[in-house]
Amino acid sequence: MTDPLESIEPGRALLLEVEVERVELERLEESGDRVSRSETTTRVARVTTDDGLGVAVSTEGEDYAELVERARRTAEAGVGHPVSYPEEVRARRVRAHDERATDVERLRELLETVEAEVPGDVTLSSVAVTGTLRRVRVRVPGQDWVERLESTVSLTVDVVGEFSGAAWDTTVGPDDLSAERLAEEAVEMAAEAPEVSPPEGEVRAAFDPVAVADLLSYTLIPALSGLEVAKGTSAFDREDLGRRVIEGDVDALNDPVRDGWPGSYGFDDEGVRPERVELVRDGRLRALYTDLYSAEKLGLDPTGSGLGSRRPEPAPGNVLVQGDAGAEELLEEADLIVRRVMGAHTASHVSGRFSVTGLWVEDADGRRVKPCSLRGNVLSDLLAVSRWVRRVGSLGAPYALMRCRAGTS
Amino acid sequence: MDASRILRRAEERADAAIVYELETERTEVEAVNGELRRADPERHRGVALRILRDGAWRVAHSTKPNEEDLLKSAVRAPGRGTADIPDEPPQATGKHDWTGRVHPLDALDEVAELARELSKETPHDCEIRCVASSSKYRVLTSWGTEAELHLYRVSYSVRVSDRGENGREEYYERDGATAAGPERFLERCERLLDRASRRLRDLLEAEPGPDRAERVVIDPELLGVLVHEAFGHATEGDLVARGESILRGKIGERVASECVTVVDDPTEPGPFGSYPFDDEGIEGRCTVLVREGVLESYLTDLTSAAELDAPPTGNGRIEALGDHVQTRMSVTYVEPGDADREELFEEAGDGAVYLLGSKGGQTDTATGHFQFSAKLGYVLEDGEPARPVRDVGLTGHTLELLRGVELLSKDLRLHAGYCGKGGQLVPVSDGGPHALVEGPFNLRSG
Repeated sequence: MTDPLESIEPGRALLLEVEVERVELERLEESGDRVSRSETTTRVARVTTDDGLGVAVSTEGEDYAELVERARRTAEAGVGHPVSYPEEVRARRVRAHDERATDVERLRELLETVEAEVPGDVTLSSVAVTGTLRRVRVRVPGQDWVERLESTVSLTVDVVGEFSGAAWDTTVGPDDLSAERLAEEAVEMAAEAPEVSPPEGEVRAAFDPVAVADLLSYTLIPALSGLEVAKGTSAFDREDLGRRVIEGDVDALNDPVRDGWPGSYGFDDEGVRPERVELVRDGRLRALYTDLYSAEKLGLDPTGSGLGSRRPEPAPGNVLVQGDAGAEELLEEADLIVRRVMGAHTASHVSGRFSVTGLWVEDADGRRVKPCSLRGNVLSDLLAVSRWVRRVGSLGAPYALMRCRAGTS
Repeated sequence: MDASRILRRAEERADAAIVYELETERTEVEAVNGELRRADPERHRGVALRILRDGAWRVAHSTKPNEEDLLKSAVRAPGRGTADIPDEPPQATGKHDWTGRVHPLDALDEVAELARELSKETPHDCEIRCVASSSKYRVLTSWGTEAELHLYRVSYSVRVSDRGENGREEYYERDGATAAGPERFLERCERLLDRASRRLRDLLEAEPGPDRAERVVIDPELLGVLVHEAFGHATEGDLVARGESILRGKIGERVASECVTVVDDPTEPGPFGSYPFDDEGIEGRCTVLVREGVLESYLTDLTSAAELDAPPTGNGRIEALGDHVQTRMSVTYVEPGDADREELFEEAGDGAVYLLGSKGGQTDTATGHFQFSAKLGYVLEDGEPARPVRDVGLTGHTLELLRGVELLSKDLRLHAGYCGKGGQLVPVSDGGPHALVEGPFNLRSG
């Protein structure tokens, strides 16, 4: 059989094959189990010319020669921005894979652990676990296929007691996941009906790592994407590199090669080796995470963060955000402790501003506060950030003390 | 693959079965600041089998389907429960042609060129996207459904951003439709971009909004999102059945002011969230959720219909073939009233805030608490939207908001969007008229 890349120069093409096996188990209070297993194979050819970058995608099992031809025609029509693929793909070694991620019996044990942890006076309305195994292979001209394996297991728990409660986490394998802790957290959130009225006006609110992870995912982290900066849809500009962009001595590190964390991978979807990159140091912008396109647009080095089977875009691997404060001291200074928020996805990575509803909030005396609105700016209202972090999915999130405007929801 | 044979073989091993076949051709165009980033055609195909056995639903899906593997995977999946379906569910039949004037692959170059030009001419940072698809979808069920749909769907969006005295701001608009192809983008994108650019300029000059307002006027886009998120999700039968809805046990009770009627209706080709039959092969139908302020019905898929002893409403939907069915909304809106928009502004009075558009929001359906951010606001003066304000939105309680609706205008607008639930995104439409709502309201937003 003819090699579809035979006549293509090194750096000018990349083939990708992504096989995904996904198993999902759900146990619902009212109707019992639901089980699904899905297997998807996607083939992608990317061809770059002097005029553009063409991409052809198929789940129909099309031959790579056809896909390469389709991609070449698109590139020659001037679509896309030319990039240079690596002439050789070299994978980093990192533990990102656990075969048991789609083991139905093992996943079912997680559901049963949660069930056992929920007391009789709290209703377990649903518990769901999704295990995914991904086999990603890439090929460039003159080299054989290179493969990476990765997996994730996600568990979500929803309960209803005096209040509603929820908890979730994502890990590489089922053994990395603490079903007991998630059940306990959801139950603790639901156990008590909040009765204390929230304060009105400016408060010092300490957000716990789960709430911080929620806020950072829609503000700081997307603002550090090279593509968002290149498009002008980030709070930061290229010229901000080296400047102070966050109040406080905050550090942010993108670490896609952290063993056992669910945002790890050996090479990105453009065949680039991922780099551990210090994005923010002491509140100053040091770097952005980039794919080939955004790196070229901004005149930066690619960080191996191009993820996505169609046209990759920069995506963070595992991000650790840390400060220099002690968690206990930080909590002592707070008027409110915010443990879970709702509506973080409406926050803006263009301005850093957020307005959320605090669902699980305690006052300085540990009493539950009724749901309240909290408004602030992640970039300008930070007062202190803890050294200690908790892994929440692929984020190492700290406690954060922030100036907020609070009010009745 | 013989779908009918798979269904027959599955029926022998299950209490109920559904077989799906899907073929999709899709194009995606994206232009940023005059550069065409993508204009890609894609082809996808898949088959899935869903069975009900031992009271548990099991799904097997593959893009490389093999009859034996699908059956084995579905039948052998462990699980036990009490799920059931109603006796003799109303099945859909026939072939439904919901195509548009232009096939997505036939206008790719034209769409790409227009997106590139418009994104270049705009005096702000500008991103334009257009996704168009043609899908052939076939559903066969053990309760007699044999339905086919040839569907065109198009969605497009514009995002403009710029830096002003208060820092960077962005404005975003989206439109979408079923039974329409890329012709919709070609005909309407420029108008959408003009509107977004005008609103961005107002936003760049806007001051922070007030913390509170006694009254607000809500535009059709934000009203639609509020009705969808804050109210509609609480009518979804699966959430009602598992006690996660504030509307559980409230059928027949007043939940909104008398002028409010809310419907969910997927039956008309055109709106982005429409369909002739749902993903359980049940014919779509118009369901009145609230009639003149009184809760009349929940939405259901087959399983939640059986649990609630309610009729199936044809709202069982999935994002992808391997997903579980959930109860989902389709085209959900507040029926218009009889006032002119100007009357609402007059009635609202000076100091009220006119809230436009939605940057998204979230609701806790079990408690009724919600939080939404508007894209932009205007403080009303002399019956007119006067000063633009930013960082405004609504937080509150669903039923209090609906009971506070005082007046509805006669204009009705629907907006296209995607609704997320349980990890699945499905296309929906929501909307309504302009609404004058009595507060007080906390308007803080980010």
